[in-house]
Amino acid sequence: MIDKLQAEVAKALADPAVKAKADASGLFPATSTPAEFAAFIRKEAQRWSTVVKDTGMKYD
Amino acid sequence: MNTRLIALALLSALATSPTTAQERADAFPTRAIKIVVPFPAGGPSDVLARMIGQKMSEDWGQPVVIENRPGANTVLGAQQVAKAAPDGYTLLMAIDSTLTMNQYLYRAPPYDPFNDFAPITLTAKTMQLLIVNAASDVKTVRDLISKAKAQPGKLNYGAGTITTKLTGYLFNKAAGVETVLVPYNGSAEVAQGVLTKSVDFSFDGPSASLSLIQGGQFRVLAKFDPRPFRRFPTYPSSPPMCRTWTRSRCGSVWSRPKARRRP
Repeated sequence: MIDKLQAEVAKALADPAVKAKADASGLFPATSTPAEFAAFIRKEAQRWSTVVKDTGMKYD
Repeated sequence: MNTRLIALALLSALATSPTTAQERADAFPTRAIKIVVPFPAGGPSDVLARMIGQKMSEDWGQPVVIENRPGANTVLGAQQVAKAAPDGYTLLMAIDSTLTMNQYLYRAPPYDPFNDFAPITLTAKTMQLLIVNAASDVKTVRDLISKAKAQPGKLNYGAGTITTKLTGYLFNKAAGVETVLVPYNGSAEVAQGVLTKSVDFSFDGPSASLSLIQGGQFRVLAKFDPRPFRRFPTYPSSPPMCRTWTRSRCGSVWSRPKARRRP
């Protein structure tokens, strides 16, 4: 199911009309496999945890 | 330490469990899919979700409903999806901060980004810009810093995501100024704030401001270098802002968008 959704999003983002509209919105379409995406989130989260702690920002 | 602020990465996530996913994969989808966008309509996540939703609907013959659920730095929308039935029919159009920052910012993390969602795919990346109303007397980042230094605590900036709010925080620290955050729920509101001069400047992605930039109502003072804050947390003793920000060449950026495309 996840693979099916992933493939569909990749297909949508490859559509020239979608690409053109994304470009016009200042967006840069990018896709990944679910595994790559999971790894990306974990890596980014690790990086941001340090920045957030440095800022001392906290929300209740 | 690489703490660069790459702008808003738009992400999509799905609440599901592997077993239900396997069982129903062949027939999926047999009914309407909902994509929760944690921002008001008109911002980049919303635009992208609607384009993707339309394509899904065309290809699968099932309705795709976009539900805008703004507020609390995307937490409200994320919570809704985290609590939804894990059947693959409720999706979240997350942004980077939803999955990589909120868990460190909230005293009581409102959801678990790793266990409450199943990642599907990255959908887009964007960049951050420092924007002022074109009628502003501030023409450069240097002008902005001078003006802010002359009136501590008086200038305010709009930001609509955690990422851009953090940028404002880091800007203050790097430039040695005290400008005040006016929090908004997303880019559409931030652009409105700059347009109506409710804020003196903003940190935001280009999408909601693009037509206003091209129409001459907004001036872009800076586009982020991919690694503008790599020296953090040694700021503010590090080099001045002009070395950490790339001067905007907005016209050429937008007339040749492909040249700026990032993987």
